[in-house]
Amino acid sequence: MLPNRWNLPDLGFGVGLRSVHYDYILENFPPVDWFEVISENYLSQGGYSFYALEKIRERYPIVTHGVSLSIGSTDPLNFTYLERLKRLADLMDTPWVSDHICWTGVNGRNTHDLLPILYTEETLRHIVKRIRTIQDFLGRRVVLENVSTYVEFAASTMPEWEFIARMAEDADCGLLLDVNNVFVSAFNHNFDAKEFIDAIPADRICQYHLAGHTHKGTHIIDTHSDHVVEGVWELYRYAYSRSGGRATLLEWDEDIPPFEVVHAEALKARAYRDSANAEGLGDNSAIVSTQKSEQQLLHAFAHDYA
Amino acid sequence: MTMPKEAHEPLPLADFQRWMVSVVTHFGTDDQAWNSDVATAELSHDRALQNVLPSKTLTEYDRIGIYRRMYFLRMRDSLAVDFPSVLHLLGKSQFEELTEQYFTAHPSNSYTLNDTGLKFPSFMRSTTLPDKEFIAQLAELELAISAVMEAPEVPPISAEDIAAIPPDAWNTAIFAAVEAFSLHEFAYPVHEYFCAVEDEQNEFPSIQPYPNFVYIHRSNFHTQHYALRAEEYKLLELLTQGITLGEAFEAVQQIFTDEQSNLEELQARISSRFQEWIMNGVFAAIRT
Repeated sequence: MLPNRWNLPDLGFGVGLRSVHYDYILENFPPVDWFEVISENYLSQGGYSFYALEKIRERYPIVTHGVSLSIGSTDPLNFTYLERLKRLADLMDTPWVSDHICWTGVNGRNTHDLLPILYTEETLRHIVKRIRTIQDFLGRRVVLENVSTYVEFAASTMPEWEFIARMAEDADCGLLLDVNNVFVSAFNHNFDAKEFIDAIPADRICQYHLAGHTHKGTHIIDTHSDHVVEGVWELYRYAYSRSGGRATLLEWDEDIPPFEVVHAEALKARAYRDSANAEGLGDNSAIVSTQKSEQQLLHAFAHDYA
Repeated sequence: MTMPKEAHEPLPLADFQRWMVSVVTHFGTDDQAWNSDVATAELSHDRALQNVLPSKTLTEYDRIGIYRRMYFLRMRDSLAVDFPSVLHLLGKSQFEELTEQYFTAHPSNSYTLNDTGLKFPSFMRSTTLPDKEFIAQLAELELAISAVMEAPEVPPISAEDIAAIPPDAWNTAIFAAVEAFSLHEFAYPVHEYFCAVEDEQNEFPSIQPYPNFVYIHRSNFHTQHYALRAEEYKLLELLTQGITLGEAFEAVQQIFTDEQSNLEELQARISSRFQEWIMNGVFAAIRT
């Protein structure tokens, strides 16, 4: 197991910040290690959402997570968007800036979806060049997430995991390993999820995502609408045994339950880490990270429940 | 499980992306989407079919169809959130039909879904619906409320600011509104309709021309919308245009006082509303 190569912090166990929870968080300041925010919801820096974010930022680490970078699109990079993203990242002092390995549209048309890319040499060269440009522009490490996909293309010349590994090395970027997305795509395309995880350079993983999904029988949709299934937890445990402790985040975007439920789901990740450690699969870096998280929790408890 | 297909010539990335967007954003059937002129201009149907891999349980159409369905639901929901009263008025079925027409005419070109409805009022005006002007104005009101909700927070003038104004300076005082404020005149009772939907009432105003004046304002991150009388609207309009308080009052009295009306009553009413606006935090600055 390896620490991530840039010594980016293991922030512990976080929750995706959603507007339905603003008031609860601002009234209770629950003992969460960190929050991830959808960048696009705060780029205008106005309204109650931004006010709430600024208040939450006073107490918790924030990581910005975008959905509109469109790194794979053949459209030119949108520097108006990137300017706003940089301003937000600077304001939040986010340790890294994350988005997805996908594209969202072309010819100026945005589908607002995380569309699947062709895994080809042409796409690889295109994306690597763009990541390097964006990292220079933002002055922060870009961390990209594997997405759930529902289709594969004959024109692809390599598997997704090989593409991601080569992309990360060539662009010198970080990776956000969404374990649920690996699980979903593995079912939809009938590949071995562990083979995917084994191929990902562990020292480039800066963050994990966990979420629930919807099984439709013939395929799985990444809905973020439920508890994390056991198979995804086991994959998380497996990935952790390779990488050690990394910032871990629970996403819940549809049928969102009360904050305590979401937070409790996020904290289940700790048990899976602990069980891996108990079997000797963890290492010192993971243990240190866990202790650090507990200290953060204790600090939060002392501070917020005094 | 993905089913293999025979290898073939490389597919240029840009051609593939243009094809995929044309199919995903097409609101017809799968067959219509794959065979549309826009899609086949990028990739022939056979070439596209060769590229998309089926699984054991899903056809090529099914797999691309997942993205097509999600696109429609996402865009419909983005409008439904921004225009709940228009949705109420039209009903789900017609609203969805217009959603398809709207996004076909005005696909999103913004990085944020918050901007998807910006052209919705003008689009509604361009339809052949019998009540299109009412619907367009209702959409304009809902769009304005969303804009005020997202406007930057600017502190209003304080009680100390007010107290510091010498009595003889009020007449020449000039006011500036906070950023989270907008003022509107509608030819139809769209504000009354919006309030009826918001309050879940059972009775709605008739869709006949009848002026509605309204100001939208956010204070302490709470967005409110207030009905105004014509003279109140005029006073607020003049004040937010930078006319001095004295000149604005004078103008309103000249416009709205005739032989039948009581000048003192008018003065009392607009003075009272003016004080209410001050107390509500409508103004961000006073220049004397």
